[in-house]
Formats: sequence, structure tokens, C-alpha cells
Amino acid sequence: MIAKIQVKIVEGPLSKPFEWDASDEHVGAVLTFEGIVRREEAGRDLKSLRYDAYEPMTQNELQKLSTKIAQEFELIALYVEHSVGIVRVGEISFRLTLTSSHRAEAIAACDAFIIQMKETIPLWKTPLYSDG
Amino acid sequence: MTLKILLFGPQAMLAGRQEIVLEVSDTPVSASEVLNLIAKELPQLSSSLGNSRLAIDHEFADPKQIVPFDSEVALIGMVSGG
Repeated sequence: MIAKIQVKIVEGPLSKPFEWDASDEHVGAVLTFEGIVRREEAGRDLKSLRYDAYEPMTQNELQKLSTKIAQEFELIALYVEHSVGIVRVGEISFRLTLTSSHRAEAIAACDAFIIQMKETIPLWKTPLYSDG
Repeated sequence: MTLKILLFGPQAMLAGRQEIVLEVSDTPVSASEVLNLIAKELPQLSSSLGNSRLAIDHEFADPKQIVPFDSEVALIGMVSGG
């Protein structure tokens, strides 16, 4: 089975989540992870993060990683969104939604995706501190 | 021959610029040789280059891959998505 995959690079914070296909009767688990900009970074008070991408490579590599993870963990669908530009404290910069038949595959796939994304995908964040 | 390399994120900050232009005397030059040239030109990046890769025209390059002089070359390192 070929998984449904969707990759989006979004300017600024993320808002509305993907809507997974509720009509798919093979789905037994839906897992969504959201990365949120937290107040403290390296012991300093953070105002926001600035994310930079290298397009179209960032989008292409996210697509490759999504396909690899979906196949490896036999997912039904994988939706990923990542911000570029400024994301303030409390706002969402990353969202990964996975659907699978059972929870174990979705949980393992979520962790594997994030670990590999942080090692290979051309995305960079720069902290912008409250005190400059 | 000269080769322009795009820099991003912390490596661009450490270098104080978003691109460098390397003078390449021995051609053809491989991706791993370009990383060595970057280390000589920008020693402040040396510690991060072991975990960095070159991208040629938006695709990751293998270490032995020859870098065409008319390609878009980028240093991909110190990534931090999520």
C-alpha cells in the first residue's frame, strides 16, 4: 500500500492542522506531534525563533524522508508542516501527523522522523532573545 | 577556477557571510576536497564540517562526487529543524 504523503513549508507559525481521512477504515491510530517555541533557550529568555530553509531542497528532502518513514513503518498517511521565518514563543513551528493501523507503528515512526529530520533536513533556527 | 559555496544558519553566522568563493587550483575537485578547502578558508567552521555535507544543485553529494563549476553548491550543516 502506498501511503498518502503531504509536505508543506509555511511562512510564519502553523495554524490549522491537516485533516486526516476519516473515511479510511484501515486507520486505527492517528498521532499528531506539534513542536512549540518555548520561552527559555540555553537559560535565556526567548522572544522568537527564526527558521531558514534552502528551497527547493528542503521540501524535496522532507518528501524523501516522509516516503522512507512511511514505507519503513507501513503508515497509511504522513502529513508534515514546518515553518520558515519568525515564530514567536507559544506558537507552533512543526507539525507531524501520522495515521496507521496500530499505535506502535505511528509512535515509532514519529520519533524516527523527528530524529532524522534534525540530522539531515536543510532547516536552521536562530534564537532571537528578549534582551537582544 | 572559482567555486561559490552558499552558507546557512550557524555556519553562515560563524563565517560572517552567506557565501564564500573558493579558488580551486587542482581540478576536477570532489565534494570532500571542497570541504577541506572550506576548512582552510574558514577555520572557524572546522569543527562542524565533519557533520556537514555539500549539496550540488539541491541534491546531497557523495564525498567522491565531482563538483561541476557551473553548479549551485551549498554547505549543509548544523541543521536544526523542528
